[in-house]
Amino acid sequence: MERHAARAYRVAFGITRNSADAEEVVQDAFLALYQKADAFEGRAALSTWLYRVVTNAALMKRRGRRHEVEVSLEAQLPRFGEDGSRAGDMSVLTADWSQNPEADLLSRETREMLSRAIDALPDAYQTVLVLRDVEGLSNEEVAEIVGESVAAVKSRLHRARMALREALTRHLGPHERSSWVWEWGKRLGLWKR
Amino acid sequence: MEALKCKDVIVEFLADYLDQALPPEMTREVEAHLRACAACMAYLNTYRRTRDLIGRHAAQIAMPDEMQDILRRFMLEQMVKKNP
Repeated sequence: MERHAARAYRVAFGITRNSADAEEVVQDAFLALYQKADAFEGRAALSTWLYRVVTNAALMKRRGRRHEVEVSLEAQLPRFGEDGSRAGDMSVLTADWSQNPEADLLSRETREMLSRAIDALPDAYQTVLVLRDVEGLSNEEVAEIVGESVAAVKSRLHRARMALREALTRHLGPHERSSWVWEWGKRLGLWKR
Repeated sequence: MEALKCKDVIVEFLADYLDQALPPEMTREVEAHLRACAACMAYLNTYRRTRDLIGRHAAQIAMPDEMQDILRRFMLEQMVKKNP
């Protein structure tokens, strides 16, 4: 049961980004769990139910707290030209910060930036990201918990990851150069497509 | 079949490619594009690293000790109530 509690807390905190809210969500969920314990036929049913209750309660808390308007996800996604190639400064597009030192990737500054970027995701995207990439649930399990199709879960997860990758690239990669450099290189055929 | 564009690889196939959920032929198409396109290869590496960092970032989220004690006491109380 303690393992369930730890998971429930991670999900609640992942969605609310607030420890007091997460604690309240978990306490309420466990109270409800004990009131309905006899209704569960197996561990899988209990686990799915608990995730669902915690997710819904955490989303309610989050909605109650949020005052700022969410940033449009579209603005955070990669851009493409009409021919389907990437659009933007090539030095940014080819920037591969995945091999940066661990100290950079796990620095307090990077963790705080990532936390803010996760918090800025629209609710439905953030929820899927937490259940899938934090809790390691399958697409099918997440679909059952959030009451959406597997296709919708996969799409939201991918878009959420892409948005966070953009945020990390802005933080860890090179700064964007003016667009004329990109256009100039494109005309000269410097960028491989 | 027409060669894949960056948009196809990144938007349509990347997540399934990383999950090894693409058919073999499509996997080969994606890999051919990645070998020829430095931008998409960088995208793949940083996307994979992003997924890894999200997990590692979350692994540091732990329930506070005080909260664990409260829940433990609560569970014990409930067990006693059920089986006095």
